[in-house]
Amino acid sequence: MRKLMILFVLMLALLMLAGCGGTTDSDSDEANDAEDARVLTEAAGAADDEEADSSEGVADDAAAAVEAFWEAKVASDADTLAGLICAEREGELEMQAASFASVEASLEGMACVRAGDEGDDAIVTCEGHVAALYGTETREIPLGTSRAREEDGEWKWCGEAETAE
Amino acid sequence: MTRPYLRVVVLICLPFLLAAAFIAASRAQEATPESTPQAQPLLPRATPQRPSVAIDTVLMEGTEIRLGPGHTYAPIQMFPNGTEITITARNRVGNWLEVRTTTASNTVVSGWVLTGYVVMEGIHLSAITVRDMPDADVAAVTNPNLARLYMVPVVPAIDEAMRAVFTRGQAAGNNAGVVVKVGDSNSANRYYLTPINTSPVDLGPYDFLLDTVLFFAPALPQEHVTARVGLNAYSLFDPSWGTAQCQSGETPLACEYRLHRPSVAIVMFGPNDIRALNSERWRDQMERLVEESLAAGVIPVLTTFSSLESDPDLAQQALRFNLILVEVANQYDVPLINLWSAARSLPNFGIGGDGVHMTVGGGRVNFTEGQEARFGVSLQNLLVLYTLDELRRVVIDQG
Repeated sequence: MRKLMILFVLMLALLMLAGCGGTTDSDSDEANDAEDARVLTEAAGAADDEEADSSEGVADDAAAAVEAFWEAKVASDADTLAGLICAEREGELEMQAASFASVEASLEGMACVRAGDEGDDAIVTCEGHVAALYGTETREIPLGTSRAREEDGEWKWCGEAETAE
Repeated sequence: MTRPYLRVVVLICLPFLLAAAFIAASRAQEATPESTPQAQPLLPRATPQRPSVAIDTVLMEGTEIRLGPGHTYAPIQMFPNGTEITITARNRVGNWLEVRTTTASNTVVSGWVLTGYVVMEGIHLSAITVRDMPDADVAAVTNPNLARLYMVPVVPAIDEAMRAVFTRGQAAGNNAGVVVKVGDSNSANRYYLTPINTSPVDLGPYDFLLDTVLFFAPALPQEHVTARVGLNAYSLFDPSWGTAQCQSGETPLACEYRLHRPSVAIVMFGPNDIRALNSERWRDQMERLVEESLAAGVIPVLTTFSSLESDPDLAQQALRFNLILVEVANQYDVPLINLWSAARSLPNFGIGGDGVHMTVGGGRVNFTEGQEARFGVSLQNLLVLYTLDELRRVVIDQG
């Protein structure tokens, strides 16, 4: 009887030890694995975000510059346009500022994104159009595809481009 | 042929030969005001010198008989609808007639009336002698700038240089029978020129224009990249105003010329531009338009535009812009239609209630009821067809 009791106590102790030790270890491992996985995932995500930011950030700037160009052009704002047109196209400033001077122009549905690169230039495609109102007639002028160029750290509109494939 | 017969023929022909020589000499000696083209125009097309005929008809509407074929000539007397008149001559275009009539007191009055106020049924202007008088009595115009604009003939004399432009265009593949429109909503107006291709044309008394209509009508484009509502002298060079048929980065002007390969472009900007653009910068655009047209072998025919007098500032701006057109035309020896001057004779100067668009006298080219004396677009159609007729005879047919 006594031996049985001793054996029972020993088995109980073993069980207790196994549960605590095994449980702790597995949790720890799982926790560690989970933690590792989480860290790895976050790290991977951060890397993706960083990579994305590194292209979308530039693209945002290029696309933003093209959007700003259209806003200024529709408003016939020559002063603003002067800072948004690349050096190669400076001679067009007056034309760009006056192009919509004879109509009531507004932008509809403008959304520009970077579609690719061509050399050092960014190719920016824009959805939406200029609504050019004259009297009762409205003409829709698609925003199309533009070229943007970085000059002195600023992205600027630099002409029309073929639609990127 | 026997000698007596020869003598008779010579005796009959001699007066007409002398008359023709006298008229040609008079034209050569005509004073040249400062604003008229400095270059040497081609010799005037030999206007058929018909024997003086007297054609009896009546006025279809009460009107004034004036001292000359233009709004600035002093009126002589007002005559009512139905007045019996005798037509003795016409101006070059044919939209003014020299007539004589006898008043109730048996006084003979001779002067000029708008053709559109005369019953012309069965009468052909080709059968009427041309008496070439200035289109305006400039001495009666006190404002010097207005006088400069009135001095410019309503329809141009074609310069020798245009023959070279045409030849160059042909060598580059342009189409002799294609004319295009360049301008704003007034040019885009579907009742302006376009109907010669889409609807029956009734020239009424202007029968001499038929061959020209038949020459240009078949290939007249129905749509023009360069004739658009809202277009101005800057957006003509903005690729964003191009259509789906235009290439990336291609200006509307270049696109139009590439698509249609015209030999002539009829240009009219101004009614919108005076409200938004700087005049001297606008001159740069007109010069660019002419230069690019000439480089493409296309004869650009500039057109002054009609304007109202009710807004003095706009009237001054219109005058300024129109004089720029005259100067540019002189500078490049290109033809200029002085629609502004001709339209002074029209109700409200041929302009509608919005102060911009010309009045319309129907959906087709029709001069049977004097539409050209009442509506701006009808007058514009007449003057453009006349100028195209000159170009066809003097340049295109000789090319």
